[in-house]
Amino acid sequence: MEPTTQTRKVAIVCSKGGLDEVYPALILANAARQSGIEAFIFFTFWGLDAVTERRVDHLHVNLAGNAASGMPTMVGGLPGMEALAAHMMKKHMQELELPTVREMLQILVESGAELYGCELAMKMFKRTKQDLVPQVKEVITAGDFFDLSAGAQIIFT
Amino acid sequence: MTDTDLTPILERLDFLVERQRKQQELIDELMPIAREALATAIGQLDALDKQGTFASATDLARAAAALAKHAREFVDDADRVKPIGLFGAMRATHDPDVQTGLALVVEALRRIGRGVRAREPKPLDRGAKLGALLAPRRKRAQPLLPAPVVAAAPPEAIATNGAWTRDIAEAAARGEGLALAAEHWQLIDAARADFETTHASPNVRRLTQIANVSTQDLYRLFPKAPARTLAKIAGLPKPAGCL
Repeated sequence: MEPTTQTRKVAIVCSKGGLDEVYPALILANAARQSGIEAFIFFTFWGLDAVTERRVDHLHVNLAGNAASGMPTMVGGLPGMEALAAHMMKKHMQELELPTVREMLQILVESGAELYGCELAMKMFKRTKQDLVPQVKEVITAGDFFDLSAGAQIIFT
Repeated sequence: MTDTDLTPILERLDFLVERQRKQQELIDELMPIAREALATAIGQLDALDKQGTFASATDLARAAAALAKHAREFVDDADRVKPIGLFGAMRATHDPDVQTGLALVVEALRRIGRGVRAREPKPLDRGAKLGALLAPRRKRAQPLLPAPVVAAAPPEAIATNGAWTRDIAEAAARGEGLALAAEHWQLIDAARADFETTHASPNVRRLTQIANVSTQDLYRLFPKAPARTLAKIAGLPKPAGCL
């Protein structure tokens, strides 16, 4: 299907920091850009981890309470299980030649997508703009988000 | 087996029938039917044994005789038996009598099982089982690039591809509001060359890998949906995949 409207735009809110929760936001934004749709991502709460310099390469997969993981919650909650699951998923992604989160952020910026951090979440986690990866354009408030997303379809992940 | 072997069994059954008749009318009605059925069954077993096709019938008859012998005591004691649960059942297995009875039941099950299994195809031997266990369970994931999309390509794209000329590309580019420069042509040629080998239209990521072009430049040269626009101009099917 070809894009029908000239000014289509999506605003994606990434509020969770699991590997499996960050990728959908990144891939959707990228697919939007490739389809000629304007896109920006608003990283808030744990989603900030995806754009935090010392966290971005160490995102995990949450197993406890995740029915689809096939892992009993009690087992998934054991120390090291998250790291193991993240390792396995990363390995699988590597086989698929899927870019890392950091690479995806760079690709997104180069594709013309914009990345924003949430001011309130930054305060909560005591992070500054310097803690974030350089691909983040700006730290904005919820109100700014709505200004930016005027006319956009909003996706919450 | 002879009829004299069966006489004690039938006598015991008669006794049981007598006893039950006094207590339950239902069983009183059912027993003659059961007896008739049993007699028929025994008759048939006897016939089979005479043909030599039922070698264990004698064992069975002996076991049945033993059962019948104990049936009387069993019925007498039935009222005094206390209900037991799982642990009671486990405790009861310490009793040598229970052990003997259990062994008999297990033996019967074993023989029934043996008979059933004899009719089934042979299961895997240990070596074959081990082989099945060690065999790779699933194929390794295939890289997304190049994507296998020949079949998914719209027919008109293939048709255009066959008859593609640079003039068609120019016209298609004009339709997209683009004027083709050397940089565009380099990408068009790279995409077409890549399609020759992979049979898939390159997506943005693939293009950055094969054509020495940055993502940024791709979006600069083809601002709207770079890989799709490029594929259209190059006369290739729409690229597939998420990246």
